[in-house]
Amino acid sequence: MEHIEGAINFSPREVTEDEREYASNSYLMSLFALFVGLPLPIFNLLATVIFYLGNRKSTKFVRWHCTQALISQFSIFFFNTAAFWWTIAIILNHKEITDAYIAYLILILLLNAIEIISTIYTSVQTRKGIHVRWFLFSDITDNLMKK
Amino acid sequence: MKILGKFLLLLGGIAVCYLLLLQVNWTTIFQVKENRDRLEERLGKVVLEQVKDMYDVIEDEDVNSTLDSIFIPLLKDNYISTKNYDLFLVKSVEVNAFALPDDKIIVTTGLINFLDSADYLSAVLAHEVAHCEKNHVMKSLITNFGLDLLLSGSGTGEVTNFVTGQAFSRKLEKEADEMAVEYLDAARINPTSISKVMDMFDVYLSSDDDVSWISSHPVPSDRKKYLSQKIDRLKTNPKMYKEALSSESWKSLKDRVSSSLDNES
Repeated sequence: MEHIEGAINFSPREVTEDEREYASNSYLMSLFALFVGLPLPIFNLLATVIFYLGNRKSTKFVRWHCTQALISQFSIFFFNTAAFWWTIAIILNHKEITDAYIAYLILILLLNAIEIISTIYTSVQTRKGIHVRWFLFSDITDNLMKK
Repeated sequence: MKILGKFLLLLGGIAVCYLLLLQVNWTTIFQVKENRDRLEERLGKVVLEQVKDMYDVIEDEDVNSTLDSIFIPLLKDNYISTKNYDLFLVKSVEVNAFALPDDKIIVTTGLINFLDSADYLSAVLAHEVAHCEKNHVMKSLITNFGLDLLLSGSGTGEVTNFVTGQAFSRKLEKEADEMAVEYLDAARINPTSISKVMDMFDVYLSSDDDVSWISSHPVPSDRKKYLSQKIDRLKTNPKMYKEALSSESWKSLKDRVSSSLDNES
């Protein structure tokens, strides 16, 4: 996560109370759906997509954060989906639980923990009107917003 | 370019983390095999206790030793350790036999009364031993509970479990049938007895209102086909086969089982 000046930047003074709330909710939505839909990896992504689509016509600050939340959920979705189907394959084909599988599950837990902590932090900061930029995802968001 | 560089850096970092995690022998740390064995043993005890609560176990020494004289050679001739196996005869009019976790096999008195020969009982036991040796009981439990757990949030758990459960059950039944043919042949008991006894079950249990037999077992025509193919592949001499128990001994076992039931009632 970065606090540095980015290509697209917002000053807290320019961000209204409503915008802060919507932007913050875009992160909270994915978290809420993640816990509701556990262990299926699709619900958090779906919730973020729905929230993103609902705020397409919103202000730039809200759209920017909805996009960053969506991209972050999309990235973690691939890792979680791989873990989910690997588990299904073990259950249905009665494969042995290997070191590679456990190592992957631990990696997934680490990635999800980082993602959850970052999401909570970003949600809190965004609520205060502070513009939080994530590593890589913020650059992709900038690119998408410029188009 | 900046995005590509960061993307590769992130992906590389994750790959390095995974490679580092791969260096650890996690299955030993988490004692995966030992925990699975312990779980099977515990489940075996729990389920057996439940069975004992539901049914009365026949404790007649003569009956049990006669059953053992059919069961033990079947195991020994197939080089299967007899140490962990337990065979229980329970009082029930149901025609049934089933395997529990941790190599416990249950046979009902209804089954003994239903069968005309000890060869048929050997066939049923060979089928149940195959379930135990192939660890089918634990596999079924893992599939059912695992899918339940994974799909509980989606609300599709029951449907998926039913569909996969049926397909899975049929697959395991086929595997157990084919292994039973080999076990019977090794024990010099005519393997066609399994084909005959399954035919008898199909006729008897399909006429019942209970559809669980039909839904969880292979289609009778398919079963007949793959069993006869398996028996043909063995190319054994029918003259080498012996009776699992003489017809007199089998009749006397049936009488004894019936009398123990009468005494109870």
